[in-house]
Formats: sequence, C-alpha cells, structure tokens
Amino acid sequence: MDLKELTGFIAELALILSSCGAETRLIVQTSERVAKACGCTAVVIVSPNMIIIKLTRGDEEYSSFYRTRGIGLNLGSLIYCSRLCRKLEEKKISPSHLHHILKNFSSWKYSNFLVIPVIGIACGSFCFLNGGNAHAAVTAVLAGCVTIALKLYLNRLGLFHLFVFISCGFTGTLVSFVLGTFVCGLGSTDLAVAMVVSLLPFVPGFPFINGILDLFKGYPVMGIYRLVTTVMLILSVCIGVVLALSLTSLWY
Amino acid sequence: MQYDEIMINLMAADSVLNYLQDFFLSAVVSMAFAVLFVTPAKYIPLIGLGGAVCHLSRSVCLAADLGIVASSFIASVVISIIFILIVPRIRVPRPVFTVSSIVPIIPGKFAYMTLLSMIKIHDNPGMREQYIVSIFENGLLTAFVMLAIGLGIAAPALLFYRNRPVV
Repeated sequence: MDLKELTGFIAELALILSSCGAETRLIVQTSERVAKACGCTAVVIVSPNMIIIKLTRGDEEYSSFYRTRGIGLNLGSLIYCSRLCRKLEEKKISPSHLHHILKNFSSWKYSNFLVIPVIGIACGSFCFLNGGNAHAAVTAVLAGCVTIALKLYLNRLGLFHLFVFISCGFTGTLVSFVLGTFVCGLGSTDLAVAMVVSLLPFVPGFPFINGILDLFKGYPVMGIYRLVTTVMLILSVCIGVVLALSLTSLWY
Repeated sequence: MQYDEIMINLMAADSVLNYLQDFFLSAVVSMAFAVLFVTPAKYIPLIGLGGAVCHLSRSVCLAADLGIVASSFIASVVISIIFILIVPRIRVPRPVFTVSSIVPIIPGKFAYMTLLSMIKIHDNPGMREQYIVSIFENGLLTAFVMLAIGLGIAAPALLFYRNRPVV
C-alpha cells in the first residue's frame, strides 16, 4: 500500500473509533499501533472537529485532515474494531484485508423491540432502588418504555440530538405525571421518584466518563469538549422537564 | 458511629434481604444500559455483576456512615480496580464495562430536587431562602457525587496503566 492509501485507511479506523464512543487515548494509540504494524510512524491528533494524521516511512511523509462524524455510541463496533487492530498487529490479517473490512463496515444494533422493554424494566428496577413503591415502579416502567420509544423514533428521523433530549425530557415527565396521578394514584414522593427514573436512559454517562478520562490522560481539549457536551445534554433534558412541570403546575 | 453498631447495621437480617434485593435490581439496571449502549451479549452478565457489586459496595459504605460522596467514590474505585484486573484477560476496552456498571449509583434524585427548587424559587418568593438552601445543598451534592464517580473510575487506571496501552 502506498502512503496516501495507508493514511486514508488509518483515518477511516480513527473515524470509526471516534464515532463509536472511544476515549481519545484509545483512538490515538490504536491508530499509532496499526501504523507501526504497517511499517510506518504515525502522529495522530484528535480534536473535536477533525482528526489530523501524519505518516512517515523512510524519507516519505504524508499528512492529511479528516472531518469527524460526531460522537455516537456503539460499543459492539468499538470492541470489533479494536479486535481487528490487534489481529493486524499479530499478523493474523493483512493491512489490505483490514482496509477492505473497514470500507464495508456497518454497525449493528439490538432490535428496538428488545431495547424498549429492557429499558422499561430497568426504569422499574431503578425506581425500587430509589425507594419507590410498586405503583411507582409500574408508572416508571410504562413512562420509561414510552420515552425510550420516542427517543429511538426521533433518532431515526435524524433530528438534532439536543432537540431529541428536550422532547424526551418533556414526554417522560409528562407521561409519568399523568400515569402516576390519574392511573396509579401516587403520593408526591413516589411521583417524584417515578418522574426521575423515567429519565434514566438520558443520563449521558459515556461523554461524562470519557471527558474525565481524557482530562486525566492528557487530552484537555477533547475532555472539555466532551464535558461541555454532557452539560448541554443534561441541560436539554432539564428544559424538557421544566416545560412539563410548568404544564402540570406540580408545585408541592 | 461505633464499630459494633456498624456491624449490627450491616448484619441485621432485614438489611441482608435489602442488600440482596438491591444487588439484583442494580444488576438489571446495568444490564439494560449495556443493551442500550449496544454491548455484545456475551459481556452483558459481567456488566450486570459489576453494577451489582458497585451498588452493594456503596450501600455497605453508606451503612458504615461514610457519607454519599465518599461512598460513591469508593464504589467506583472498587469497580474500576475489579475491571482493571479482569479486562487484560478478555481484551476489551475498559469503559465498556465501567460506564454501564456505575449507572445504578447515579444521583438522579438530588439532581431532580435541585431542578425542582430552581423552578419553585420563582413561584414562591416568600420561601426563597429555603429554596436557595435546597438548590445549593442538592446541586453541590449532585456535582460532587458525579465528580467522585468520574474520578473513582479514572484514578485507579492511572496507577495501573502508566505506560501501557489502553487495551
């Protein structure tokens, strides 16, 4: 493979890793190790909007910029890609074979019909963990199912993700309020627990932990970017919750 | 609190049942999050176990009167160290396990109380002081617990992996 092709291939790998929710150090190290396995030295810089790669082989040098595709989350793809890179290092597959695999790469997901009930059950369990009673848990299960279904639907429409979080915060609170008050007849404490846990799927755990890890491991720009993303997502959910609470005038 | 008293708290039959119940419930929460994060099915039981151990260690620390911030920190340190020891054998990036495992100890209730007080402060000007206290109390608690969880996950890895690759 010539150097230009190799840079494109390593960039493709780094872009897939960054769109799967890998921490910055993992992206940089994996790219550098793959370059080393192909007989080159790589310098990889990851910034919020782009990935810069410089490859050196003997006297040749090639560098290029690539635009990132935004922060997504797919741990299955992340594990798959890091496995492939290790196979390349151990010479079990050739660079051209890996390039071919990455070109035709498509991420898989669990079926929505599995995710929705599973998240509903998780909301019910979290309700018990937070001291809610059985009625609150039923409310949380139903509200959690509705909210995650809405999120999956809005994501499929390709809407701006902050808007998705606002809509889901609003819907989750409103649905749990309506169900809790008019169907299950919850007291104020149990109602509050049900409302909190129905928004459990919107806790941005991955950007937060990755942000802290990046800050600690010497990538402050990416760390701050991820933490700001976390704060923006939380604030979006808060806006939705405030809208719903204003609507229900739940002042107790 | 005296040592004997702590042990009585921990060993009471009622609380053992409570711990067991919380153990299973937190495992369910962690496994559900693993599904949401598209983790391959064969790692999901391990994540469930991680979440259960995380919540259990926080409950034990809370029963020992350590306070919620320190308890969350210790729980996430425990989970981080467990996965640092396990992960090199299965060769999977560690956040895959740790992030789903800490979900059961996320302080949702405090965050909600902060938000509620922030809304109500405009509605009831007569009770402003009470709400300001609530905003600061719950808001700081939420922030510190989240920070404790983040640091608890990140810090042990820095001790173990100074110059080694992540995976």
